[in-house]
Amino acid sequence: MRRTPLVGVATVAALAAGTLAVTGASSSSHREAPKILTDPTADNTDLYAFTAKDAPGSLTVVANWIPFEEPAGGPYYGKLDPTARYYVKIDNTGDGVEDVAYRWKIKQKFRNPDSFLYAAPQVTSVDDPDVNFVQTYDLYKETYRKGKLKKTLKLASGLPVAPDNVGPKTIPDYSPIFNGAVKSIPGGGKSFVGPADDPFFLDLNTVFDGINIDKPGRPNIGLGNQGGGKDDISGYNTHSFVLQVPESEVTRNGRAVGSADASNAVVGLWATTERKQLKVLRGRKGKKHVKAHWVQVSRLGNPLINEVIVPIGSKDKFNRTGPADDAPNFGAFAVNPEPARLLNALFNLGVKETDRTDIVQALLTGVPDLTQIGDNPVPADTLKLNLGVPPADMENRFGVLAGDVAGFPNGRRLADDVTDIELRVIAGALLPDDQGGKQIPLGDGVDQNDKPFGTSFPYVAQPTDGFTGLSKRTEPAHAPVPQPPTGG
Amino acid sequence: MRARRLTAVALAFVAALAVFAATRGDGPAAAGPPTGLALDARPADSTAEEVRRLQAAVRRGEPREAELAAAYAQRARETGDPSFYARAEAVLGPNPAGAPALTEAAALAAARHDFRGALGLARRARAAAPDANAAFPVLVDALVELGRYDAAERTLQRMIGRHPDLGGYARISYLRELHGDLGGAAAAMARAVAAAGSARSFAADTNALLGELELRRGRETAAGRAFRLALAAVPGHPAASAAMARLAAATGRQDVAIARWRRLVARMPLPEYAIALGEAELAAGRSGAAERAFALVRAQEAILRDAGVDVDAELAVFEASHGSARRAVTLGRRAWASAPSVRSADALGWALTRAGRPETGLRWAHRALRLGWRDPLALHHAGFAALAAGERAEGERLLRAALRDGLAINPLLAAEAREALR
Amino acid sequence: MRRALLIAVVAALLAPAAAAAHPLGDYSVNHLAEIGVSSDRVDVRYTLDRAEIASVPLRGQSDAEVLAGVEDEVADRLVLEADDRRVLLAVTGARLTRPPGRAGLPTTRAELTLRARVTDPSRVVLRDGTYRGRIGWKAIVAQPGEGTAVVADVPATDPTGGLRRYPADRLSSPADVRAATLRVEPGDGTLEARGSDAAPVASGDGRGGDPLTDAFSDAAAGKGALLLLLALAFGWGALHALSPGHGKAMVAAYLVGTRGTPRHAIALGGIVTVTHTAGVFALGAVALALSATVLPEDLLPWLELTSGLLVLGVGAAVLRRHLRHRSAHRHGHHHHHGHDHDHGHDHDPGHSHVPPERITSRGLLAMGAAAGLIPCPSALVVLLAAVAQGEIALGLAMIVAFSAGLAATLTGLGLAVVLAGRAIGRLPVPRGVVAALPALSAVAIVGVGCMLTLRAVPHVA
Repeated sequence: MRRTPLVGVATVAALAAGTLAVTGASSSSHREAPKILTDPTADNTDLYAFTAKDAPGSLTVVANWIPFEEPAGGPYYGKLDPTARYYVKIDNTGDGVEDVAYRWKIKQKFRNPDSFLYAAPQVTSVDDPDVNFVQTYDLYKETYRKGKLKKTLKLASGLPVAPDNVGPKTIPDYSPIFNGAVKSIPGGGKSFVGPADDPFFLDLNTVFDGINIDKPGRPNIGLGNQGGGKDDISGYNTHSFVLQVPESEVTRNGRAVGSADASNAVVGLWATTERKQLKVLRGRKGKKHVKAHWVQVSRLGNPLINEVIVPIGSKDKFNRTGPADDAPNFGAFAVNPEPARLLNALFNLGVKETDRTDIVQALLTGVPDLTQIGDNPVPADTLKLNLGVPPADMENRFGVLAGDVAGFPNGRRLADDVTDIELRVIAGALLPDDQGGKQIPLGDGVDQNDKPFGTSFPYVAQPTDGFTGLSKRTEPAHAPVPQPPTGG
Repeated sequence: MRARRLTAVALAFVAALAVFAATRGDGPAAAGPPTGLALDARPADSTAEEVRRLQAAVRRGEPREAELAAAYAQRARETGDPSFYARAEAVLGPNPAGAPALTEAAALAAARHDFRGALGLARRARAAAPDANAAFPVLVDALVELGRYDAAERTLQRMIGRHPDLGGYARISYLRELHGDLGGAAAAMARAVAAAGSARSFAADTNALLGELELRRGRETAAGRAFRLALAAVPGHPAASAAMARLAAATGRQDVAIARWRRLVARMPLPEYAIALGEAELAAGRSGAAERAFALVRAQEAILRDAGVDVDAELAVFEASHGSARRAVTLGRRAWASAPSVRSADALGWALTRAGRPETGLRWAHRALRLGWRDPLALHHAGFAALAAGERAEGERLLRAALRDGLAINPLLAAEAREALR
Repeated sequence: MRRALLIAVVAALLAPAAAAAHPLGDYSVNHLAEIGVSSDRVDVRYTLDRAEIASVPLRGQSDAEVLAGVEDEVADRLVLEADDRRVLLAVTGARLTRPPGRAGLPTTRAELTLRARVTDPSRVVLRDGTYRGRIGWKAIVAQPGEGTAVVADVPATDPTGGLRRYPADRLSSPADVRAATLRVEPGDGTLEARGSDAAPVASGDGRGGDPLTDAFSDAAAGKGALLLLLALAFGWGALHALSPGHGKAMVAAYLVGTRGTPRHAIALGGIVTVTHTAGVFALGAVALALSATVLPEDLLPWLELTSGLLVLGVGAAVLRRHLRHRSAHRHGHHHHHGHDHDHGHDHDPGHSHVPPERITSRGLLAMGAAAGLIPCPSALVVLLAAVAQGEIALGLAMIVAFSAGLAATLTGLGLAVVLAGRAIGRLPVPRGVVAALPALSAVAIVGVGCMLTLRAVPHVA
């Protein structure tokens, strides 16, 4: 026992203090607040919101947690944190404060506490008793007025989190299990929680190595947008929380949206994770002021904001603050975006570096007559979706930039190429020509996800299974080849 | 500005000292064996890949030294190879600047048990980026190891208030344990386990720690479960392997315990493990085998002494129990000077007791237990100090407490305690 | 410029220090297989280097026993395949040495030469599965053979010199090569090696690789190095005194302000040496004593404040005395209005036409103390590091040398100022300027004192 506590804590300490990207060597949303990288179960990776073609009149949300899940997880497959609160929050009044929130609470158990097998062959359904490690969730709907919680409604309890796709021996056919985790909820909605192929696609090196779009062997891949990027998220899984609810559940007046210019048409969404603060020492006299309350540890609205716009010293602050305070906290970073300076420094593109109200509009206040909530919205990093815009017949990965107003930044569909869109917006795609507008075909060379998305709920692609998963098995020290030696 | 230049000169001197030592046929154990090992069995060996990527980036001239240093430190923890710590230090250079580099430098200083250095660097990191959380953990660790428990508690409360996560929960667990609240420590560690999710090395570390706490609370089944979960996450995880050996001892399976210790020591001869193996062999009456295990400890002590960094309380306790009590006192003093924590107080007290000064030893033992710490070894040391000092009643009370709080993990000491209580 | 140089030196010194003695750690088990493929045979030279702690379990074993163990491991786990068939590697030579490592502990070095018979293989694979799970340097290196042209996927060079020195390049990782594939064609002993993978060629030996460190090593153990170190400390002190904030302006100003003599300058240097050494020792002692409650870094601002106030006091005293004399002097001039003094041949500054402010031993002491007391955190760190490393005597010696160097610079400066002052005295410089110098100096001292005090205050608060 000697020293164990110290060494142990030092270990955790060291690990947690390791701080930077390392645990996230594999990390996805990808490389943001140093701290959050050591905290995968709380890490929001992406948020999508759109009107699905097969569900007009409903809001569809996909919120993902846990970056870079290895498909081959051994007994330690993707796990959600039963002590955390997972949230999708919705602002329908334009003040950057939640009016409606959906909250997931995870519960877990080993069916056979003496076994550490994740599941035994063969698993054929979502509630198959051969699945040994089981996670379920309760779903709550919270209603707020001016940021104060008014009502909590338990929509469902004990719904299954889809088990991981261990491999063909244990799970010969994953589809019934994946689809079996789709459940109806009262009031006419659907819910799914489970592992899925991470729908994000991006060349991490290209974007994070100093927007390194000029690479040896593939020059100008970004500038010419000739494809050829490497999807670094390919083959990794994530945990998707997919929710589909009637518009009337989330609009400001509780009614369905009549048209794109209706006053209740636009909602702003973001996802958060909360963890409980503990009192360090229990039962100490005179130190009662510390309450065990919930603290927000991660937040995500528009894609790549914390990764690209917020500078490194402020990333933690972004994660613990709310959208309503974005203007004072981070507004300057959007008005004078660092990536614009970077683009100029690297490629001498002559991009406008200051006073970028176009970026503020696209991301924070909303595009007038499309994603602006009310007349005078508070600038807030929420993913704004106009529920009155019908889904496009032919989706364009460039969304609004290409005239497809049903796509990003009007909400975000799974296939929207937000990396390319944001690079181009930063380069001036939304500015009028006389104010530095530039149509530069920037991009990371990855234009679509490696797996096709579904056309029906839950839309995300099934997770890569653990057996055929990408896990690049290194080949350290092979066992000797079992062949009889032949003398020379 | 001036401070930085001064630091440069100071570092030069420290380096010169080290070189001087080196010319005499040795060198400073800059890092020693990494103490917090977590062999990572991630299939893709992704940290190695990250290291390669960052090496290339830094070679290209990108200012990503801090990230590379962090990746090296992670490699050191994963592989147990301390040369990665040396690389991390080299890549940060003598004058780390900016919050990320300062934070990494602080973590490295803490890894080599230079807690004062770690504290200073962590404070500078905090000042450089007040909105960032990254420097909090090492700040708390340094305060704890320097025995500044109130400051540590305050800082940790701020840290957990800003961002509750695995690192915060694990540290809360340790502070609660030091204050004798084993149930609270286990509850906090259970949250750390939950937060670790499927991140393998975190899952292994936190489960191993949770199991240790459960074992101390006499909940062997829960402990065993946690250890097996740790080993399932990272096969061969050293801390969990050691814990399994202790569990076997605590449940009376001494042969199993010794076999486990032997396997672990053959692979990873950390002093902690070698001492445990030696004492288990002694309890089984095999003094020859015990000596062979202790030889590993003595050799490491010799290396550390030669390098002038034999400041770990653990070595003082070892010398007091199995070597020269006089030397133990010297080591204990040095441990206290370098890290005035309750652990160091325990070591110094035990050394004094064994050196025939049980009254002084008992005073230090009281100091070690002042927070309410219920470490079975510390209680055992305090108990024998009290007995030797003629405080029969107190000694018996302490020894009974030691047995109640898990001394059974060490059959040698448990037998001594029971003998003394008879 | 100078700072850049200093930092370069620091970096050079620090690298080997950080690399530790066995550069790959005391637990490491390092091995290297050098393979050469000839038309009729494959030669493998297998070298094993077990670090100090990894050698402890071999203590009781004879050389032959240890070698037998290595041979068993190699026979089981070093696998050679020629054209997909495993071929036997026979031991043709074996040598064991136990070179001393740190703390007089032996390390273990085994060298095996192995040979396999083959006939014109086209593809040779070597898999090294020895000592799996142990940390260390693991490399396979290809070498040219006879009558073959070989293309290898491993490097052809071994940066370790046969596991004798390990590269400590900060931008490369220890080698971890466990398999090599060699494509073989008939030829005349050529080798094309790939897979160097930005080979870590930069060789920095863990036990000293850069020139400076080698100089240290070559200075041989013990006294040579010690002298060198002390000289280095002296030099550093001397250089260090040139950096701002070390009171040289103050000392110079004091000497000018008080019309000091060379003797005063030297005495001042001595006092600075003593006070600086004593200050560092005292601070070190206090720091160690209070280490449980106060950190040395917390003490420094207070010391800085004390020093600043002291300087301020001395400056004020000099200024006040000067003003008093000045008014008295002016008064005197009124009295001796018509009297003509001859100043030209006045060689004694004490008798200059401006009445001298007397240098009192108390003033000198205060000034020296103030100059020496200005805390030098670097010196303190050196001391504490020395204590922590159990090299107290060495640390003390280095501090003395450092202080002496510091004082030497200050003294030199003082002498220069004093002598320059005399020279100025001889030069036909307008009297007003000469007369004003001491006053300006006093003001300068006060200024320095104010600056030090003001700078210290926010840190204290």
